[in-house]
Amino acid sequence: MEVLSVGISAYRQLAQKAYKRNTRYRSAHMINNVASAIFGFIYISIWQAASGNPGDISSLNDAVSSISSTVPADVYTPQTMVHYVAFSQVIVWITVFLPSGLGIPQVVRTGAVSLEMLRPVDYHLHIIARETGTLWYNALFRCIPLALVFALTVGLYVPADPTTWPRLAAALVLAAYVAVCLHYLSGIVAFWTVNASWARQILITLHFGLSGFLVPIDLLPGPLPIVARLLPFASLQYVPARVYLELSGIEALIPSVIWAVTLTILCRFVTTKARHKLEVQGG
Amino acid sequence: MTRAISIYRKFVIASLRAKMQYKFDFIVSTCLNALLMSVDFALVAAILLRFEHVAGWDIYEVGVLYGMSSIAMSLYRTFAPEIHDFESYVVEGQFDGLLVRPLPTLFLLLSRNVEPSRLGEAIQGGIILTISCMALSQTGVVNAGDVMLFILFACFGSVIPFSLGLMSATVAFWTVRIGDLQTFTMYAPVTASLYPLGIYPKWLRAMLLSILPVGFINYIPVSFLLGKGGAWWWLLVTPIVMIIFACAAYAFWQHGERHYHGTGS
Repeated sequence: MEVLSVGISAYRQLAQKAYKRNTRYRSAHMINNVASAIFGFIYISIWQAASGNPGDISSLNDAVSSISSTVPADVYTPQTMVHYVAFSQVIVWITVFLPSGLGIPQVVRTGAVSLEMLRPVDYHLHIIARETGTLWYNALFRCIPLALVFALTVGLYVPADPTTWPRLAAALVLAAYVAVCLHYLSGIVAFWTVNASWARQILITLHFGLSGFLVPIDLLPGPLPIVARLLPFASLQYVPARVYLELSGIEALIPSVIWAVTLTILCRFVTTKARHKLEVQGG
Repeated sequence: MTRAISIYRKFVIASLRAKMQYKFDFIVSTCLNALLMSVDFALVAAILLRFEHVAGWDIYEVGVLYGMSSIAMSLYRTFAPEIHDFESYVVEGQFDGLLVRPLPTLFLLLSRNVEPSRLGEAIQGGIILTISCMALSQTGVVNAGDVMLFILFACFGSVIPFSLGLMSATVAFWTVRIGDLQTFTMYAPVTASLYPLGIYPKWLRAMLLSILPVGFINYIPVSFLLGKGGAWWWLLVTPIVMIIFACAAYAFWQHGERHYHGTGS
């Protein structure tokens, strides 16, 4: 197996290179962080304005209770929602704003993918290693500065129970991994289509609609809460946010683990098919 | 002027013909662009349906803001895609090729490409605007004249994102890369304009009515027309601000163009 023959050091180097490449654009990313903070303030303002009306919070809690008997009636207070939205905005750089199709469509278009696949590394793991470097960079230079801005302005929630932190770390690692798998799948469709941008658009649309990004899944209308819980997008925002706010325990991570395993199998399968497709085209 | 229009029309038709070679891609892109924007509104609608109103604006009133802003942004992305993606001209040195042609570079960029799939956002925005206006007209909040003004301001409002886009593109003459800057100058303010500006902190509101004046696309005229505040002269100030901002953007573009050094290849 390729993975065993290469060893872990090659993948570590790929991650380090990706990290270093990102550090070259730190000043540009800081401008983007300002924009990200503004986006956060926009979403926080919407919730503050909506929940600032007397009596409305009780109606919200009634609505939540009617949807799920397992959710306590006072679960989403205005302050909780500010923390929820701020946290959601902080983690978008490791859950959604990854390079388009993880750069796969671009190398497919230029033909450079044939060289990438010739390398003595597993292609899927190669992409994961590279994105690990990018995600690590994003966590340090995008998520943390954004968290500091929100901590100094609207305040960030600090979990009371120390055991929440390892649970949160696990939830974030799973969220990032599921995100990488989803973006990998959206990118690898480029092997079969001329333009793969629609795959990313579908992914982003589903992410913002069904991940619990702005509105917790519990509060979505109609049958959407049930549908959203069954999809992988909940693992990206809703699950980490609830673990962070200590509204869910470790059992909330079970669907994330299932999705991580399922998507890994799917990515491996599609990669094999893509490699075959490349060989067919390579005449 | 007639010659310019004729050249523009020829270039645009050529661009459209090229786009229509990939009909499936065009249809999918149009639908997805509309869908992506719809999700944004659906989320806010989910909040509004729970709370009934934000800062005194109900779901239909927010729908008017939302529709107008979507139309303005969509028109900009449809008719000025090369301005929005100007970074590649500087990175790849393609701008050198435009400078040697006997027409203004801005005209060449505008006529080079149109992106009709971006009209999906305008269609989706138009649908939300129509539904909102129908609901508001039933309660007598808006009349036919108001609706005409909404459409007029939405269309002319595209001058604001265009000017912001042009200013961001101009920065590329110095910095080359502008993708991250655009998030600050375009995406964040335009997203902010989808909701009533009154909900934001004062510093953010001030920014959205001055250096990034997206509030003039919809909030300022709509506030008066829906009786949320303001005075009749707000309707006059709005186009004046748009013209001044567009002139400032063009002057900045000309200034930036003089500082272009090429790729040196």
